[in-house]
Amino acid sequence: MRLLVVEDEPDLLSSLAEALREDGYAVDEAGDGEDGLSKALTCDYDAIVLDVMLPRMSGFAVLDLLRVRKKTPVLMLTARTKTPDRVRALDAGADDYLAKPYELPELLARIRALIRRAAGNATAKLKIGDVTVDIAGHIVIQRGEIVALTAREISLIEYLAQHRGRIVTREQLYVHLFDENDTTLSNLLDVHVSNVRKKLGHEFISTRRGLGYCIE
Amino acid sequence: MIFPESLRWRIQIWYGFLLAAVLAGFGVATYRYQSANEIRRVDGELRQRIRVLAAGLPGPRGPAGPPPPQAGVREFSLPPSRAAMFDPADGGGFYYVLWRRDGSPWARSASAPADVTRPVLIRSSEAAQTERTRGIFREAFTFTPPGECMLVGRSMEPERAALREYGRWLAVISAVVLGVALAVGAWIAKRAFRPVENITATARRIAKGEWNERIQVREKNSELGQLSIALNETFAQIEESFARQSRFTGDAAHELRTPVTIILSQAQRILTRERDAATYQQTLETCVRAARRLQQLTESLLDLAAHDASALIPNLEPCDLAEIVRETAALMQPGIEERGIALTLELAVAPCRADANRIAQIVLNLLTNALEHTPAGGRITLCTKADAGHAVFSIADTGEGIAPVHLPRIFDRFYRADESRNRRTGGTGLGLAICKAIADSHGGTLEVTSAPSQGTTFTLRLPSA
Repeated sequence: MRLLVVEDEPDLLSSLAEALREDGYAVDEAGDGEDGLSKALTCDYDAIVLDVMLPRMSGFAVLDLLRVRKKTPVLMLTARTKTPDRVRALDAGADDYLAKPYELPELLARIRALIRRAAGNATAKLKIGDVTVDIAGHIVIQRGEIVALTAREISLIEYLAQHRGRIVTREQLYVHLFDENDTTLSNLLDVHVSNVRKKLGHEFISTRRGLGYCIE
Repeated sequence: MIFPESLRWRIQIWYGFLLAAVLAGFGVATYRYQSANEIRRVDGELRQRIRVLAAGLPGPRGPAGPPPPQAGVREFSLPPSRAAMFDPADGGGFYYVLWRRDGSPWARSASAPADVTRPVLIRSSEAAQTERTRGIFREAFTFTPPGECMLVGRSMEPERAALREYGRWLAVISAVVLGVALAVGAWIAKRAFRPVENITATARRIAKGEWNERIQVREKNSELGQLSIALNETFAQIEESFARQSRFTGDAAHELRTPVTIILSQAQRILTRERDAATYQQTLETCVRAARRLQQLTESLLDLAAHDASALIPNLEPCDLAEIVRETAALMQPGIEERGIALTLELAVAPCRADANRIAQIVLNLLTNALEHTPAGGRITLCTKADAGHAVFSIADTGEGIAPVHLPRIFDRFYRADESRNRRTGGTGLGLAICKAIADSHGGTLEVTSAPSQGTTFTLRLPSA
């Protein structure tokens, strides 16, 4: 899953981005409204964390312009906590709203919920045959046992599982699993896919030649 | 009697009392006048009949004539034509009684009541004629020169009945007039007090929090119109100050939450699992930075709060503004030159009464501000002078200037012309507000003029020593 964090406090931005990376997301950072908007428009993020008080362009302005073209789930983050501020944010097109100072576990849970809803899934546990993908806990269980997987492998499974039944192209996987600073070689994706097949069975991920991958 | 608190009803009651008193006074006066008139008329009739009786007296009469020798034995007779005037059937109800000089009854009409007594002669020197009221009877009497007494009387019953009727009418009319006047008065009072009720209702709504409510002013020049205008101005001021307060608390909350969020989010993230020493070090440094910012904010807010509560009474001492500026500028000089900015001092002696430390705080704040907004190669000019009862300090930079829209609010707490500015410089957004508060506490002024891309000038004026 790839996220964009738009926040003007450098310390907060790095801390937030780092926390999200540790939770398995690919994270892009933007330090002001303009940068945030241009990134949000050029890349299909799974979710955006957007601060309201931003230099050059406020969070509301970013949201307005973004909504003209994209439906990316947006979680607004702000220190202004009065009801009119919250109402304004939600009505402006934000999908969720969290007041600063926030609790990190809550922020992570809300982002998971946003991504899940956007993908059309009602719960955080997805059952695929004898495999259960627990998106909240970032674990994969097969026949009652936790399967040992790397963070990248889990991200790959989660993305494919969230888009179950749909063909996911290689480009899509590159966009959603790696952030702007990743310099992964293309065949690394194949390595991850083959490692997952070794651990969960070859038929868990099927390959559609010339199209992409899919979890049935 | 306990008067109601309502002004309207109090006015109404007093007005009612006054009107009732006036009506009663008027009624009594007319009743008395009417009654006196009746008596005078009856007296006239009685006297006329006395004259008729006198004509029936035997012998010489009149005040000038000498008394007859055999007074007391004279006989009295009334011609029948005149006696008819005392006939009970006549309807006039007149009667007469005559007494001889020795007081013995002489003659009386058939209609005379039995209990008529002989009047006492009060003024014996002349033949007096006078009247008296005895019960319901009015009687006029006279003494002839020989000393006989003639009395003509009549029952006043018809007049009294008429007067009673007249009194009743007066009472009824007064009551009607009073009632109508009170009703009209109540209506007028209600109309007159309606604007007051309107004002009260509006004030109540405002008190409940509808700050944008205003009293509708219909007649600008009436007393209540003037009151409404004055109240509306007050409400506007209160609303404005509440809005400013609300903005301030919102901003303060935002400013305080940001560093708290940084500390919390850093710490929560780092505690999720074991880290290496370098990561802990880095996280702690970030936390310390955020805590420092919190500290700076708290100090500034407390400083402002002290100014708001007028708790900071400046320690005023005679000093030279030029000296304060020179010392402060000397502190900053190395840093300024390092950034390639020219610092010009034009300091003339400017004596003032001030708290030197506080004024130095203003100078330092403004100088730091100017430094942040002046690019390399620019110039900052500090100038002091004595000017018409004031010590004046001005600081001009050649920086980017401030757009006119921002100027009116530049001294507001947390107001920033450029949102990103404090992120770069770490300012609290309270510096100028504090400068202004210090200037105010000295009885001075702090003003700003600016032209975009030409530079900004702040001018501080303090009362001179």
